[in-house]
This record gives sequence, C-alpha cells and structure tokens, in this order.
Amino acid sequence: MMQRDLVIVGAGPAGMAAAIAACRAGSKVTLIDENHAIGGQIYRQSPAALSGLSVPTDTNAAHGKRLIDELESLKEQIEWLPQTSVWGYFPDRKLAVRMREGWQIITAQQVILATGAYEYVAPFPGWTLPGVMTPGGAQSMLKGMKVLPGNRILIAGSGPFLLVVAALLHAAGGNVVGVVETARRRDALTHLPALLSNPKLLLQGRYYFKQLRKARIPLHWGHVVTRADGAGSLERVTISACDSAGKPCGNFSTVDVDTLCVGYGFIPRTELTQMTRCEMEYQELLGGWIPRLDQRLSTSASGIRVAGDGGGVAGAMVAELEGAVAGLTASHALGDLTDKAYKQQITPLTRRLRKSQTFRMALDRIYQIRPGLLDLACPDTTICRCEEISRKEMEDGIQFGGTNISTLKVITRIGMGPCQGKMCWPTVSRMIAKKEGKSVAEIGNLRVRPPISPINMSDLLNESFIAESSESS
Amino acid sequence: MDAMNDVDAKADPLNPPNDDPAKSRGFGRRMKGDRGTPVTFTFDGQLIEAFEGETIAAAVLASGVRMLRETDRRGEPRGLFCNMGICFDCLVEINGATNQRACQFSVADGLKIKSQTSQSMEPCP
Ligand SMILES: Cc1cc2nc3c(=O)[nH]c(=O)nc-3n(C[C@H](O)[C@H](O)[C@H](O)COP(=O)(O)OP(=O)(O)OC[C@H]3O[C@@H](n4cnc5c(N)ncnc54)[C@H](O)[C@@H]3O)c2cc1C
Ligand code: FES
Repeated sequence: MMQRDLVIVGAGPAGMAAAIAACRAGSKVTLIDENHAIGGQIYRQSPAALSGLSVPTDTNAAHGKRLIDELESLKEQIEWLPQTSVWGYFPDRKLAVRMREGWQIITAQQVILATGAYEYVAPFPGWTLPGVMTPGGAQSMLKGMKVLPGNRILIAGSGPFLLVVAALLHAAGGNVVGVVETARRRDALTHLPALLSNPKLLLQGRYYFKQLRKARIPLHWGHVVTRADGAGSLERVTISACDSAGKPCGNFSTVDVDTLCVGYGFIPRTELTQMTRCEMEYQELLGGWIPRLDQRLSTSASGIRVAGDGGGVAGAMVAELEGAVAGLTASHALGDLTDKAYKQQITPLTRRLRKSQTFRMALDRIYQIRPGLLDLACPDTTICRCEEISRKEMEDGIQFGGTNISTLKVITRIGMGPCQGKMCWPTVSRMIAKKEGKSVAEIGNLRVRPPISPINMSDLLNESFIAESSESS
Repeated sequence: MDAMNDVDAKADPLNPPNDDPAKSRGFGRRMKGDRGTPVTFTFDGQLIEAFEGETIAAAVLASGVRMLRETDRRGEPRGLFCNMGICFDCLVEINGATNQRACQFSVADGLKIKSQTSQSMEPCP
C-alpha cells in the first residue's frame, strides 16, 4: 500500500491548478489521470507520437499551454501518475488505482477530486447510429488524434461549446453545414446584462459568432434535432423549430450529413465523490447531482475536496480558480502553509470566484436542459444505450412500480450496463420525476459501486489484493 | 449586439450543393503531416494501416469504417459516441478479449480487432 500526503485525481485545469498551488506551498503532491498527459478535456494534448502534427486550435490554447508549462516546470517535485485510473474509493481516503502495470491502493491524508464532466445527450430517434457523436468527442478526435471525424457535419444541442467545436472542425477542413441551438436568440438577449459582467468571456463568445459568420455557417437559434436516419450509419438529420421548452413545433427540414455532433451541456463526474459518502445535492443548472461544498471546496467527508466541473459545471476558468483554492486549503490542512500565508493567498482567489458567478449563472439559464427535449424520444427509441431499453419498456417499468432507481433497475435492467447509468440516468430520472409529479432531486441518484472503470479480474484475484483490500475494509 | 445575429439564410442553407461527392464518402480524415511510425493491424480480417499513438477508434474511423459493433438485443449498429471512455458504445474484441473500448486502446502492430455482433457478444463485465 502506498501512503501519500495529497492525492489529486484528474489533471484538467482544476487538478493542474491544485497541484501547482499545493506544490508551491511545499506539499508533496501525487497527481493521477487516466489520460497519458496532463491537460484534461479543454487542454487535451496529443500522444507524444502524434504531437508533431499541428491542427487548428481554439482561443484557450495559449492559456492552457501556460498552465501546462507551469506544471511541467514542477514535475520534478510532483509524483505524476499518467494512464492511471482510480476505480474505487474505500473509507479513510483509500484509493484503488489501476496503473499501466497492475494496481495499487493509495492511502492519502488529503484528497482533491478534480474529475471533470461528460456530455449530456437527450435521446432522440436515431441517436445510437454510428456517425452521431458528442461535440466533445469530435473535438478530442481532432485535438488528440488529429483525425477529422466527418465530412459533412451538423452541430446541434445547446451551449457556447457548440460554437467552439463548429469553428474548430471548420478550420480543420470539415464541411460544417450548420449549428442547431435549442435556446432562442431572445433567451440570450434577456441575459445580456448579466453577461456584460464578464466582458472578456463575452468577447470570446463574440469571437466565435464572428468566426461562424465568416465561414458562412448558419446558426439556427430555437431549433432542435428531432431524428437521425441512415442505413447502418448516419445519412440524414431532421431538424425543427422549437418552443421555449425545447419542444419541436413544426417547420421540419432535413439535411444530408455523415456526422452529427450533438450535446446539451455537461454532467459532473461524481462516482468517486459519491463513494466517499459525502453529502450530495441536486442542482439542475450546475449539471445535476453535485457534492455539497463549502467556500473552500471541502465536502462533508473529512479530507476530501472537489474542484472543477466535477463539483458543478462552471467551465475551465472557474475550474482553475477552484483548483487553486482546493490545493492551498489541502496544503494548509497538511500544515505546510501557515495561517497567515494561507489567508493571504486564498482571499483574492475566493473574491474572483464570487465575481465569476453572475456570468456563469446567466449562461446556465440560457443553455439549460429544457423539459421538452425529453419528448424527442419515441416509444421505440433506445433510452439506455448499454442495455438497449426503449422508452416504452422504461415507461412500462415505471407503470409497474419502478418509480425509484432500484426497483426500475430490477424491472427493466436500465442503468445496469457498463456505463453504470451515466448516459441514461439523467434522462430516466427526469422522466420518472415528470410522470410522478415529483422533483428530480426526490427521485434520487444512482448508486455507484467499484469498480467504476473496467479492471482486470485476474488482477483483483491475486493474493496481495485480497490482503490489501481487507486492510482497507 | 450584431454578434448574436444569425448568418443570413440563403435559399437552402442546410443543403448547399455537394461540391465533391467522392470526398463525402470517406468519413474520418487524418490531418496532413508527418505521423511518425506506421503500424498495421486487422479489423475483421481487413488490414488497416495506422500510426503509433492513434487509438483503435481513430484508426478505424480514418480508414472509413464507422460501425464498430452490432448490439446484443436489438442488433443496432453502434460506433464511436463519447470518445472519452464513458459510454461503452465503442466496444470491440481485441486479441480475443471482448468488450474493450476502442477509444481508450492504442493501436499496435499485429493487433487482431473484431467487431462484436449480437452472436459473438458476451455479457459485459
Ligand atoms: C469532451 C469534452 C471536451 C471539452 N472541451 C472544452 C473546450 O474546448 N472548451 C471549454 O471551455 N470547455 C470544454 N469542456 C468543458 C470542460 O469540462 C471544462 O471547461 C474544463 O475542462 C473542466 O476542467 P476540470 O479540471 O474540472 O475537468 P477536466 O478537464 O474534465 O479534467 C478531468 C480529468 O480527470 C480525469 N479523471 C476523471 N476521473 C478519473 C478517474 N477515476 N481516474 C483517473 N482520472 C480521472 C480525466 O481523465 C480528466 O483528464 C469539455 C468537456 C468535455 C467532456
Ligand atoms: S466512445 Fe464512449 S467509451 Fe468509447
């Protein structure tokens, strides 16, 4: 078993900033990520073998490079574990990790979970066809693999991220035929005053609108993708105008594309956080279930902090600030930072975090997941991609008394596949809530059980594992 | 806020004439440049050329193939979806081991990849 002072899970902006802050404060830092390189989603780096190839970048690349360089300059002092997945959490800050070779239990005095987010896609007919993928998936195919994932591409869903991906795929030579945005233009205009609170980010948004215009990529506000069709893979997408609830309201048109990138925003990755048994709460606008955090990003579980999108989706800039706050706070808790130095460093950070709220909340409102999206799925549309459960089967399950997670799981097998409900539960819980006239919070969250990512069973069955896990129970 | 304006919608903005029909048939396209060390592997017996550092998902896509498997129950075609290891849609058989995520596994010389069909698929772990 490895004993460590501070373990940070996730090397995106939040984890990197936490590592830098804690390392500069004099703490011994162990940084873990399942990726081969630091960067996380937004500042994703290519594998070394492909890093010589240049592809178009976005406006954040320069900032990301500075952050990466700063962390690289501290690498001698930091224990960096790439290609290492944390697949379980056990009481008293024991982390079960699968490394490139074998596995380990790491016991940490302080833990920062900076596990980021994944994309939400509301089910619609044809969403399982090859050629339909998430915008972030397409982006990382280009950024990481230097492969343009399609030829004629439609981007759809909701959020400013769609514009980033559209501009990027266009710059790389993709034929981006349009961006379909559920929010209506007037939703954006209503929140303009709040958006003015952060001129820098607003200008960044403006930059992307301009890029799209220059590229003659039409932006269809107040529209949704209602279905995707094709024999064996995607050939055609149908879009429609929608009302304020995101419900299609006619004016259907079809477009021939080979690739549809569709995403309605982000959902925090909270499996590890949940396993610490800290208090969780449901915050619709922050992406769903998140840990209850104090101002210093501490959860109710001792020695566990959560920073970045994993604690509530708020974007890369906030993630970085939160990472720094969590890193300093962990150093302080370890006794590596005096009260005075801690206070001095933390105050400007928390002030900036507070200031970023107004802008973020406006964005969240404009691009919220609208209830009408739930009705895009037809009775035979697959809801649970792993177990292939259709909407009708799910609704029959609810009818049969599956109005809570565990019963519905038993009746329908929903959420029992390898993704452990990450793809379907945000939809299913909303659908149950709607049917039962309850809030999504009342329906509750899925339980997670280790392993949260695949591990080799033969690794688990060797003797040292049994010895170590019994120590950890 | 003119920045918020739509692009002028011309006749049929969503369906511009297809300038190069041949091009539209290939799906994934490698960006030009030196990719370093080539490797070859097979996908359902077909020899696929790829480059070190690429994931199986990227290499298969760049070879123009998008369907990675057929589902167990309804026989639906599936391919790459999240490209970040979360959705488990990209499952393939790698050198005999089933249910491996193509987006998380790097190519190597001589790998034997098979797509899973409703017959070949074992229950997921
Ligand atoms: C695919 C994708 C692309 C995105 N692209 C952009 C973009 O271009 N611009 C933008 O503004 N926002 C983008 N976002 C939103 C993005 O989440 C935030 O802007 C920002 O990256 C959040 O930073 P973070 O540090 O909280 O998380 P992330 O950057 O997501 O970093 C989390 C890290 O934790 C690692 N991790 C998670 N769980 C484990 C585990 N159990 N074991 C080991 N490692 C683990 C992940 O591999 C990841 O590297 C993207 C999101 C996604 C999902
Ligand atoms: S595409 Fe989602 S796990 Fe590979």
